[in-house]
Amino acid sequence: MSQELHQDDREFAIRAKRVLDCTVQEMDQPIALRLQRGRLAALERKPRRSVRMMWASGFAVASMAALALYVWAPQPMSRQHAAVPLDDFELVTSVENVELAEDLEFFHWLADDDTTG
Amino acid sequence: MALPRSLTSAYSGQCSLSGRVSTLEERRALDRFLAGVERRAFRMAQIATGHDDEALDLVQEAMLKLVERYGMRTEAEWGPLFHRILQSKIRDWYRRTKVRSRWRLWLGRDEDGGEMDDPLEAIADTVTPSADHQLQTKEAAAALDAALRTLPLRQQQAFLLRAWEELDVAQTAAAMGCSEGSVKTHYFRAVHTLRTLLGNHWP
Repeated sequence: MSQELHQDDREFAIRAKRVLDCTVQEMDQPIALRLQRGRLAALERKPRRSVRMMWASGFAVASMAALALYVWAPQPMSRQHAAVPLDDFELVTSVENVELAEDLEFFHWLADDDTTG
Repeated sequence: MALPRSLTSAYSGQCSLSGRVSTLEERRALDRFLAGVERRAFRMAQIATGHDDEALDLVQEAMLKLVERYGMRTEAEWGPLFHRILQSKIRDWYRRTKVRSRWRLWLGRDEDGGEMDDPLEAIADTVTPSADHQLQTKEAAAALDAALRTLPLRQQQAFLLRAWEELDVAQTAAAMGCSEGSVKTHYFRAVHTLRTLLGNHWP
């Protein structure tokens, strides 16, 4: 059986639409007011973001935070560099090294002697 | 609830907004959209349920869900989404009512003291135009309502969405959650049943 509508079927549908439109225009005032109140109540609700959007946003924020931490956080110093200040401290404070500093002229002379001859 | 982009084409002409707008503008746009659709939505729900209060509840629930879940979507998407939500709520109501009627029948009692919750009972009550309906249009509307209520729900939905909302087959299928072939069948049968019920001289 063909399900194509004939011309008179289409005209019937147009007449039905016209009648239905009339019922909307002549709607009872109390019903119209209740619909209006329902609409305003619905508009008070805040649109909720979809779960997928929330996950995507959360992932993006977490990624940015991780990147920022990586870029701006103080880099861990290598073992060699980390040890330097302590070595310097020992060098300055030990008695031997104070004597070493006093003999600095001798060491300069020794170095010059090595290069020249 | 995802709708193919093509389904929103019929609504795209109703709006000039294409992307996100400020919250105030979005709210105004939603208000305009709902104000434009609420009365027809109420009539659809009223025809399906036979009750003003039930119909008002269903429309309000549909409006709430649209604002809450899909208010962030573009304006062109609201029409198909709203109809899908509303038709889904009508179907749920219909199923609940049928189950309730079956239980009531099985228990052999009428909980509401004669108040008619069963859609089939509501049909019989509205077939005869009341004395108040003197105007021809009101009589025609009453007759159409009554005839529509005799249809199975799917045929009723297909007829109202296709003939009244003027959705195309694809949009109607999306709103009803069925195939395009089913929409064609339901619509065809609905038109022929209604014409038989209402006669050649209607309205």
